[in-house]
Amino acid sequence: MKDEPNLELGGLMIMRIRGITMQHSSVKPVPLNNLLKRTENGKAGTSLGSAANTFRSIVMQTGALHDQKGTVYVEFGSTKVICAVDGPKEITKNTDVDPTEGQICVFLKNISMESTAVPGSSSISSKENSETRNAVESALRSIVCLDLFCKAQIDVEITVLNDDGGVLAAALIAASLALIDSGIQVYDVCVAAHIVMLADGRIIVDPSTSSFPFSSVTDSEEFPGNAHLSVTVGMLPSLNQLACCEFVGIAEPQQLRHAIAVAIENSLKLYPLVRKTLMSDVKI
Amino acid sequence: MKMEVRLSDAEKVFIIHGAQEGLRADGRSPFDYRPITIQTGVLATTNGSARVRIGSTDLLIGVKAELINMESVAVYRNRLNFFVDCSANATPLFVGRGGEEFADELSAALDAAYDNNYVLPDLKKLILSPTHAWKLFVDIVLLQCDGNVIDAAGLGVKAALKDTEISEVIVRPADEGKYTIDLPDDNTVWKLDISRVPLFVSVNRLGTAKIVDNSLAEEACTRTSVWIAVAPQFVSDTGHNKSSQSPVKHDNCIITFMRQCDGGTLEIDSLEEMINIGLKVVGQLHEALDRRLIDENWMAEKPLSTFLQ
Repeated sequence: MKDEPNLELGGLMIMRIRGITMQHSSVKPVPLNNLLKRTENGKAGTSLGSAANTFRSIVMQTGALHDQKGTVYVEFGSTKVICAVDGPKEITKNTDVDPTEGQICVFLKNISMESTAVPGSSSISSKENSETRNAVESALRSIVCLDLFCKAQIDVEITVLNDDGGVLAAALIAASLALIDSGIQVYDVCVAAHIVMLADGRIIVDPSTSSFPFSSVTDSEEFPGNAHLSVTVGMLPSLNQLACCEFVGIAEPQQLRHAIAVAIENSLKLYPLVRKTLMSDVKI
Repeated sequence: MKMEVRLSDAEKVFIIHGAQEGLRADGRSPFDYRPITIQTGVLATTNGSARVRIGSTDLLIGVKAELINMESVAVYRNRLNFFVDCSANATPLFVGRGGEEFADELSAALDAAYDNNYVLPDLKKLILSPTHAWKLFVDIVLLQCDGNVIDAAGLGVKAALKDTEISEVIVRPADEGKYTIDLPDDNTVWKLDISRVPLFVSVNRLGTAKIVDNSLAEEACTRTSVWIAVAPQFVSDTGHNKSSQSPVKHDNCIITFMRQCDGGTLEIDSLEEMINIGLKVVGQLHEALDRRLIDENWMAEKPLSTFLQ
């Protein structure tokens, strides 16, 4: 009984093979098992692509606005950032500044936050923007050779087109690429990574806000057994130094150290992509 | 934004070399604080108030509780609301909008450090009904600036929250699912539990030295800083951790905020060392502040508790 269906299938295959052979003698038949295996491999690849320890799809493009140099577009999944550099130029502020070094002014504008602004949360979003702006300005002051631009000012304008988490990391990469694209001398590029450690101890690299909303899920008064934190680091990869390190959440010291180490390790993985972006610009 | 004090290169070299030798211009060791003065109850019109001085840095903190109507408990953000006012008394650079960037940076750091349910478990008591809640505003006025404002802000906020008194209210159901709020005849008040409130430490890097409690001259020589906010951990939590038998040594503290600022880069080892310094120093700060607040509690009803002290 069991042999008969196999024979039938074999017969069908034989018939198909004969037909193909009669029409196109050069075509070789592909077994069904191999096709099934390839399909499974494809599915496995798809599932691997959305694993927790990889970045979202990344797009980095210099010369995003064709009318001027020093503009960069960076995209991490649904987080989209445009950065433009203006300068070095005359100082516009009247503050009492250090005459031997240049000044960096960072302006941050979050379009996605403004469009969907709830009246009650406007002050919170402006504080978050201020926090991001301060962190980027602090990092850029360590990246740029400021002693070469005495009595000069470099304006860095960052526009967040869409915010789906990891804006600080995307802004750091966009700002450093924009400075290099405009010809300003820097010590190194800045690679950045944003990770979240969930309450169960899992570490998610480059999470999107829609997939992993970082809110205080644990409402218990006691400290949860595991950390619940978010870490963003900005690295100078060749010098192996930290330009920016920011931690928000609640954690024990060793959990914080582990999270920082994981974030540093993952930020260094972006260096080949950043380098490739700059090299492609050279070819143009 | 740094509050620049103009120093020559020779002065900076002197300060940096002194710090690297373990001596500072005013004779302190790297991990010493300047004399800290804390007063609570300095403003009678607030629910809680405190005044903090670290050396010549002077901050005035007021906490006000306001009864608000809200649409829904689910969307209400039950957190402290921080506002920082950089008074032009501190430095002429703060005239007009000059101090806004620094004020935003301070308030963002305080917001981030208090943005969890661990540090203030009494926050849930602020929800009175599905439509009524107490909203706490913490206003910080920077009166004089001589460096290390973030540590003073952390100390002052904890002292002011310790002093905060909130009136007991009676919630009665009314028609159409609404509620009315009444005050009882006796003026009963309740206080917040501040045993888990975090304190800030700013660890600063001068050359190869790492110091705490920057003065303004040392801030001009600082290469980079790490702000860290640490809350104490309770014995019950420690018991839980001991039962888990983790091989890593526990520091009995919870980090609620950490940020690298002031420009400059850090080696990864330096960052870890600065975090360790911050954890050690903040433990001493917590002990000293708790001792001071207990002493001040005993000296209640002091006759001449004035601003001129």
